[in-house]
Amino acid sequence: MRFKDSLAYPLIIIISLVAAATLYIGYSLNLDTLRETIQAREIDKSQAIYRAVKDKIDHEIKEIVVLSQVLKTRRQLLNGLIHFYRQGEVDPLQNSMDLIYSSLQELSVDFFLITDQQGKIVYQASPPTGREDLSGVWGLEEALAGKESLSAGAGPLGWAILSLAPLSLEGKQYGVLVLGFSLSHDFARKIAAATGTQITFSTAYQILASSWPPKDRGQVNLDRVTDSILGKRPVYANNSLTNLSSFYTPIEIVDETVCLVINADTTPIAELLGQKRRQLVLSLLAVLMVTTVMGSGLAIAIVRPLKKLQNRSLAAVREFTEKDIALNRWGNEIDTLSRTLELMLAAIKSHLQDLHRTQETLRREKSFLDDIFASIQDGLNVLDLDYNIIRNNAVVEQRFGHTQLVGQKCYRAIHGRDEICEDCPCRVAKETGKASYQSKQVLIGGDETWIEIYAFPLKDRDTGEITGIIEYSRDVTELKATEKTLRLREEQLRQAAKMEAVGRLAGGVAHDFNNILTVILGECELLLQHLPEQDPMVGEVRGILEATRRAASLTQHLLAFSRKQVLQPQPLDLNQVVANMERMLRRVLGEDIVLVTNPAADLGTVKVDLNQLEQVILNLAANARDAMPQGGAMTIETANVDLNEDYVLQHLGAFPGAYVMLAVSDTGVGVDKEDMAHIFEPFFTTKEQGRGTGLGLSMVYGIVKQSRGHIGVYSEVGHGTTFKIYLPRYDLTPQDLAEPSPPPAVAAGGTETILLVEDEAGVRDVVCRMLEPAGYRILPAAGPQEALEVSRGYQGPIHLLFTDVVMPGMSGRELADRILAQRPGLKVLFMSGYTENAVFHHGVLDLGISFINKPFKYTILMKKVREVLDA
Amino acid sequence: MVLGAICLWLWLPAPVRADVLEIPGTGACEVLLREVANAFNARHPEHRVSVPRSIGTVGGMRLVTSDQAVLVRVGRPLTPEEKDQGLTYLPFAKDLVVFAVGAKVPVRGITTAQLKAAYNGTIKNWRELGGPQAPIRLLLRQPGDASLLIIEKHLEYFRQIAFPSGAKVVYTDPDMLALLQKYDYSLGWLTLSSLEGAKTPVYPLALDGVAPSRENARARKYELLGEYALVFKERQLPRLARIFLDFLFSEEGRIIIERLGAISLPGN
Repeated sequence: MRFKDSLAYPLIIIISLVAAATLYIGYSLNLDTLRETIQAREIDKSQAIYRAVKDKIDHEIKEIVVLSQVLKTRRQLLNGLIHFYRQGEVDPLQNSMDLIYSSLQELSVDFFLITDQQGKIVYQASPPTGREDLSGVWGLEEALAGKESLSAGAGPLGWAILSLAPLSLEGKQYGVLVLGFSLSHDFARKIAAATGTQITFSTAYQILASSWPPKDRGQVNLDRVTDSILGKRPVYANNSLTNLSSFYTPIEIVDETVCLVINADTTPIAELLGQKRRQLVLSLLAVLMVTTVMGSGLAIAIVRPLKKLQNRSLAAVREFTEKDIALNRWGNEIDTLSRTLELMLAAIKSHLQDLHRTQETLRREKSFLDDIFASIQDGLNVLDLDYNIIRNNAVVEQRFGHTQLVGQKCYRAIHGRDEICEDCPCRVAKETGKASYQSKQVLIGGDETWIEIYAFPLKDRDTGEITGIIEYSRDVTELKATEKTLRLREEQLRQAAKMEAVGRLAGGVAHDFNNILTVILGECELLLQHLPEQDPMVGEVRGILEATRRAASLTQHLLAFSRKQVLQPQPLDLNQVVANMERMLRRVLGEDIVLVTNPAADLGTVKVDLNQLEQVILNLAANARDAMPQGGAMTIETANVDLNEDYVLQHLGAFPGAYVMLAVSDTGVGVDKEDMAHIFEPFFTTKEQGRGTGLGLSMVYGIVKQSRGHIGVYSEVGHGTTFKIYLPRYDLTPQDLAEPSPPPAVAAGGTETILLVEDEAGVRDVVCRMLEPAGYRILPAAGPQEALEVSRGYQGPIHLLFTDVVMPGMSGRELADRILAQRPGLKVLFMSGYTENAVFHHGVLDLGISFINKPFKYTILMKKVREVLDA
Repeated sequence: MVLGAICLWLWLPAPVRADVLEIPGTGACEVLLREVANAFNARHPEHRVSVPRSIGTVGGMRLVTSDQAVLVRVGRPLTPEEKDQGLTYLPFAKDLVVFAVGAKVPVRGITTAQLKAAYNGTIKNWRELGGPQAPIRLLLRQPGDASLLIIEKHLEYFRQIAFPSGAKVVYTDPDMLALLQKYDYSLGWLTLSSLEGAKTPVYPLALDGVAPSRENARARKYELLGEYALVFKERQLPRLARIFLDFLFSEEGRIIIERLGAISLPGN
């Protein structure tokens, strides 16, 4: 940095300039003061001269006035004047006036005159004035008129101050005594000589008297004269070029105001001022030099530490901003400091902004983490390596009912232990460095609670070092319960699926078996019709019939289980049904078992197949009987029940709604849990071999399900079993309840024409051989197509279409619709070992559809055919 | 800042007392304005307006331009330089400049030619003007005097006239009046209001047969007419001055002015 760029340079200049200015001001003030002092002194001196002049003039005026007063009464003077008047002789007057005048020599009397009454000069003291009269003298007329006057002004005697006194004796005025003195140049010179100045008396128009030589009288400024007189004040002026001061002051002389001008030579003053000026200048220069030197020292003293500060701040700037700052571009040290401070401030500001942003980011991230912590609905603990809780969420506190967990050992705070749990997953995670899992049941608030714990080692991302443990715990009590329920449902589902599969199998087997049994049964009945009663083969045939009927019963059971039998539901009052069966039930139960019925009042109505319902009750009664070999009690209870969602969730296959419950309870041996899962399976039995088919409860199950009901069983080994059957409740009036239908009677034959459609040849044949003997004309067809052809080709009336339901190519229902189109009014009777088709809605006959189930007995067949033909 | 305030206070002129108003300036309207001021003071005893002895128009202008006076009286219009200083010139009356004679001069009229002859010394005795055998005592005003300027404006020869050395120079109307009274055979000029306000045996002369009266002045027959005005700086005019101005231009003020022979002017 050059010296000119340094702060010291302007500092030194400023200090020097300030010092110079101060000194100059001081010098100027000093000189001004000196000048003013001198001027004031000059003015005072002039004022003094003015007062002296004024006093002198006043004194001389006073003298002449007094003298006039004295002389005007002098007898000598008056006698002389009178003598002059009377005798015309002036000598006596002259002598007396000369005598008087000689006594006045010491006075400043320039004029000593006597005029006559015309103003003509009678006497004038020497030297003479050269005038003969005083006309033009101010106040003469007034004096001639007897008025004493004092006048001042220009006139025949020059500019004179005159006392004019009338000279009177005994009332007669003879003339005027004039005494006065002249305001002449000599007068001015005398004063000037006495005062060492130049004196001028002037009016606004002209100089009256002056000590100046005529050529210098232009020094007097008439404007200042006027100003002074008008303003009635002194006016002072100093001409430094001519070294002449002028003091103008008004002075009143009698009735005239003139201006007294006092001029003084100010050369000594100018020389004095000049001398002073030189002294001051020298002093100023000396002081300036000293000040400059001192200022330089001061500047250096100031600048040196500034320079250090500058260098330090530059280094700081480089450190802060990584910028290398060129020094000399920025002027002096203050400039540099200012610039570096700006840069430092900018850098600090930038850092602060970054810091704020970082803080804000951290705050948001912390808030985000806090939110995560708080949002997790499970427990979350963060532990240090000593298992102290360093962070936890509210769930942990709420779960264990503790607050202020931070800082405590987790095993003490949560589990109340003095040492870590043996199987603690946190310890495992810490020791193995891997995640650990534990699921356990704990007591929390007296409640058994399932807790799953996941422990993760908290690792430093950079070093991989384990710095803590994260413990995540979840209350899975509900989950466990749900799992249990799910397992139960799965089991139930499996069981239901198994039952379904078994049912389908059973149904399929039963159907085919039914066809076979139909043939066997039909052939046996036909055979019996043809064998004489005493034929030994009759017994064999009857045995075959009986076996066939038993086989048919079995197939019915299987069909019932598989829910494939045909039901004919009707509105029933369960209480009434139970009451009607009471006698039968007592016979079935025997004497050792007490039957208790507990019917509910206002029991709702159910729509079920009566026969099947009775079969259910009978089967349950038989089951209860077998469970109480030593006797006991069986209770039948009814009630209106509403199954809710909870029940439905617990019991697969149940649906919510209004039900009528039929509960059959026994006090028998009960069923253990293992067997409970199988009791409704076909052929499952706990009885001895040969003591049951194992189809009773499966039949009950099938019937209840097919009736859209639900069955539940509750059993305790050694205490008994309760079967609860829930059947849908219908809002039917008592009038809707029908009496059970009477047993069918054997129907007679007929002569109608029947179109028989059956794809099974054996069944077709045996049915023909059953019906034809009864007088019916049978038109057999092996299938739907053939039936259609027969119907089209047969000219005569066909009264009845007797068809299988399930046939290849076309269903019996469809066939019926097509033939009915050809032959309106045709009656239709369906037969089948299956009920699974569109016509039959879950085995329940649609209204108007006639059906006979295979295998059918001869009498059942006859009756049904007749019934349909007669409908 | 404090030092500056002190300096400002020292530099600024001392304010005039609110209840006293001095109106320095020309002697031309001194008597006139003093009469009005006396009437104002009688009406407003809480105030006092004084009209000091003349310091001339020049003196008055000096005081008002240097802010040593808030209101001054002048007998002439402002010069262009004075106008540039933001001064307000408010004429309030016109006055006749009259030539007057001492008590023992029975002459009542003079012609402009006679005036010229008397003032240039050609005519020295009243006898020549129809008066007594007595020398004519000439009384003059100083150069630049307002009444002299008016005379010079209408009587051109006065501009070049060389007054006799024996003439007395008088600087104010009161001084003129005093000398007219002292010297019986004197001839001088002054304003009619100064003359009429004084109630002296000094008599105004008709000029060229035209008597110096307000009527002749209004009829423009008598042409030696001067204007009196008050000069001030509008922004510095105190309340008392404004009240006085209101009085000056009021009916009462106008009556006083007219009573003294001057012609009152309506204020702006």
